Amino acid sequence: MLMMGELADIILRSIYVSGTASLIAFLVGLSIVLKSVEVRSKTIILGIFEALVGVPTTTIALLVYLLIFPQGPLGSLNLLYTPHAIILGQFLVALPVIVSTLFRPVETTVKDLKELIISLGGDEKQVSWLMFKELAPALISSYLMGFSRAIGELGVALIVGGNIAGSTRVLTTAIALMTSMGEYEAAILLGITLIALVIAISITLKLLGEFKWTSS
Amino acid sequence: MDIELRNVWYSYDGVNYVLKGVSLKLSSGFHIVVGPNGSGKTTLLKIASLIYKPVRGEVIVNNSNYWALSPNNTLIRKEVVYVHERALLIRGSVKNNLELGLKLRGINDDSTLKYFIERYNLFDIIKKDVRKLSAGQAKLVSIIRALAVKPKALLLDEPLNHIDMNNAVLLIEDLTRLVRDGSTVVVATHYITPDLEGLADSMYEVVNGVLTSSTSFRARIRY
Repeated sequence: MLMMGELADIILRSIYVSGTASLIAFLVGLSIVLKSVEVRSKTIILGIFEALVGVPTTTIALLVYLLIFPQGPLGSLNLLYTPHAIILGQFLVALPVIVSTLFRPVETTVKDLKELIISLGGDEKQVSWLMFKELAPALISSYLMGFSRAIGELGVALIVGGNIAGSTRVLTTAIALMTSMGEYEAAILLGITLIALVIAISITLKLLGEFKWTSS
Repeated sequence: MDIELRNVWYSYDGVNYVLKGVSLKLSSGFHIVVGPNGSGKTTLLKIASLIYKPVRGEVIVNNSNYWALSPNNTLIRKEVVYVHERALLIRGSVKNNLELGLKLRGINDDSTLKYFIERYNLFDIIKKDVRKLSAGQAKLVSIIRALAVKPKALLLDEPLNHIDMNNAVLLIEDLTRLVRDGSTVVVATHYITPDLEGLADSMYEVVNGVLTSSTSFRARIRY
């Protein structure tokens, strides 16, 4: 039976692990997109990331496992079966989603808005600020897509996290465990919690995206 | 304001040139650039608006080679305003958009905004989200936003597309007033209306990236 304290611990760990992974993926993804939108090979870059969206999380988990298992290239870092291992794996899971969803809005906004602001006499600083304002909904949507993909995945959390109670157990691995143990009530509770969490975070950030950023 | 293009070449992909050695001078007055779709009019206007740097050739603004100037050329940059063929509006209301050019210059000028809101009867849409505007309304807002900053040079790409007759008349009056005050106004179009032709001090024809003809009209008297 799942205790409330344990449930809270799992929820907080899930938010921390997936939030961190998707935040890092968002920052890296945004940098990739900003650098890629003005190069000639952008279609190829976008195509690669769109293809990577469909890679099973178990395959990504295997790749990460091979990197961080004790005899692997990063084995000395002792990352296996730690929350950091899950963060690394979920970063790789979220990155293609973030790049693919961010690419077109950034591409359009960078070109059009930059021209508009410059043509109206704005400087680079004003271009950056207005670009952020214009892109805010797209940035938030993209982060949310990455977060939802990360928090909802099981392969990485199970294979490189190990589902260790009080250490690497997150919502998805806990659901898998409870189901396999026949603890259906607990599994359903965890499932509802996961869905409610994703919806609550989604609505909050969406409202933030619609917020009218007034200073200029 | 004088903007002169000297043997200007431009390519988007480094292979195909959309402008091939164009030279022309745009001084205070009303100028029309005409040509079929895809002839290079928009690119020409963006180069004359100092948005695009030519691959080859020079853009001379008030006797200075603009792209050879140090980055300290923002003062010139602020005098030249370009209006895109497709209305580019920022998120928010019509008012947010109308005041954008003024705000970018650090000007808080409610009287100018009030003047244009009254003149174009924008009371019903001033608070409206720009995503809900018709194509014509969006275009009108983008042109008024440019007029509000009273630029020394105003370059407009197909400005009368989607604009209704009443507003087109008002816009032409405002462009005429701008020219009378000493500004350089350039309009690119693939279709010349008698109203526009009647205003022109000069007309340039661009076909396949080449300036095929230029016609100067006798200096017009504007009342």
